[in-house]
Amino acid sequence: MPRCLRIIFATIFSAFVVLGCGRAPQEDTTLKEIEGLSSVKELGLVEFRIRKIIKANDVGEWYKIGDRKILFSCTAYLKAGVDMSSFRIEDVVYDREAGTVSISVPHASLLSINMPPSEIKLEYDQVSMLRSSFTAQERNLLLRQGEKQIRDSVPSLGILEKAEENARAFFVSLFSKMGFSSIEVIFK
Amino acid sequence: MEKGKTNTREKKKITITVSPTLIMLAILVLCILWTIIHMKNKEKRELKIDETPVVVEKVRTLGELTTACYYDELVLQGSKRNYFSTTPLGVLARDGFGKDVDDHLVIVAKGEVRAGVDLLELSGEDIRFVEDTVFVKLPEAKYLDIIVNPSDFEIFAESGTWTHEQVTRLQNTAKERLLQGADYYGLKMKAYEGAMDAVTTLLEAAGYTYIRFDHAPTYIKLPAPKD
Repeated sequence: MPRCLRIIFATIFSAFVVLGCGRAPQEDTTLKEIEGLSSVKELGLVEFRIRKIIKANDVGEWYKIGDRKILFSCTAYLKAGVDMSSFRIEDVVYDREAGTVSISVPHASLLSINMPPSEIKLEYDQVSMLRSSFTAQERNLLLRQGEKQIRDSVPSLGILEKAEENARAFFVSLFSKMGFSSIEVIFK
Repeated sequence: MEKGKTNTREKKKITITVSPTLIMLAILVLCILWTIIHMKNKEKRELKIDETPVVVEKVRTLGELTTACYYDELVLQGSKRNYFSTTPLGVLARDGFGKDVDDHLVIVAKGEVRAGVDLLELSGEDIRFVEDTVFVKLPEAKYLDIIVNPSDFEIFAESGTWTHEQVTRLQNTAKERLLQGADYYGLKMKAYEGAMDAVTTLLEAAGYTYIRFDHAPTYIKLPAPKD
């Protein structure tokens, strides 16, 4: 066999080996993580019901004639509160005689976003004659983007501030029932 | 002289024969390049939604203590007759060749059920403090949220045309199946136990030694009183 042919075969073989190694099947661990029960300790203190319009205008590529438009309106429920899973007995410091108590809790965080399919309405859908209509997959991809925009808007909504305000009111009410007169809530 | 003329003619012939081949090759190369660029930019060209504002409709104060979650991954399958299956050719394909011509939709859905107790349901009489003992009557545990968002759905297979309403109907079945799973695994019981644990920690932190839970649901085994 001529030398150059041997070199070519060796190169092709090496490429297959390298590519084959790179594409070795990996164990999918996602299934294991999903199913089952888990314990949490979250105190939900505020819910924001929000509305959002999700719209897209697909003008397409230069070789596609006509456009497609779609518009959804949706309702989502955001819940915020404090995660009490790290709460320990040492986080409460009290003096019964003086009637003072100080409780340290974590800062408020977003606990859940719920965008039920039943509350997503397709308001408008227009497709030019030479274009194909929106598939279920395309519609879902658009709704996913809408969900992401809602998640991104959380800091500007003031929901976390409202949750901390409600947390303060909640603990003050609870500890005042226990007979404490001076109650301090600290967010750490 | 004669020889020189022949050479020029041959050169012209070569130019004339080679040029279309080169053009064809150039077109082929361009087509290949275009396909590569097209494939590479496929993700970048993904249909994008416009930026729209988020409008807060309602703000509700909560006191929900979520203590247990149930997660599951479901496969939702739907099929329906399409126009072709009703035509003679479609009927022939179905009966004669055993070929399925229906429209199919397969969705993989990840969902979550969150359960706990609503502390806002606690009235003044439900917590009684007697010296170093607290008597608590916790409200029953309930499902607080059933969450299946668009990002939890994956359209695995789709054939034919499926309207938004048809897809939504199929997606809504995920909710019922998640609740069945949560019931099966006793999520409410686990949530109630978790709530008792959380309330005990909080009250013990405030200096109470004995915490008694009254009127717990029958499925709950109350902890033995401390001596």
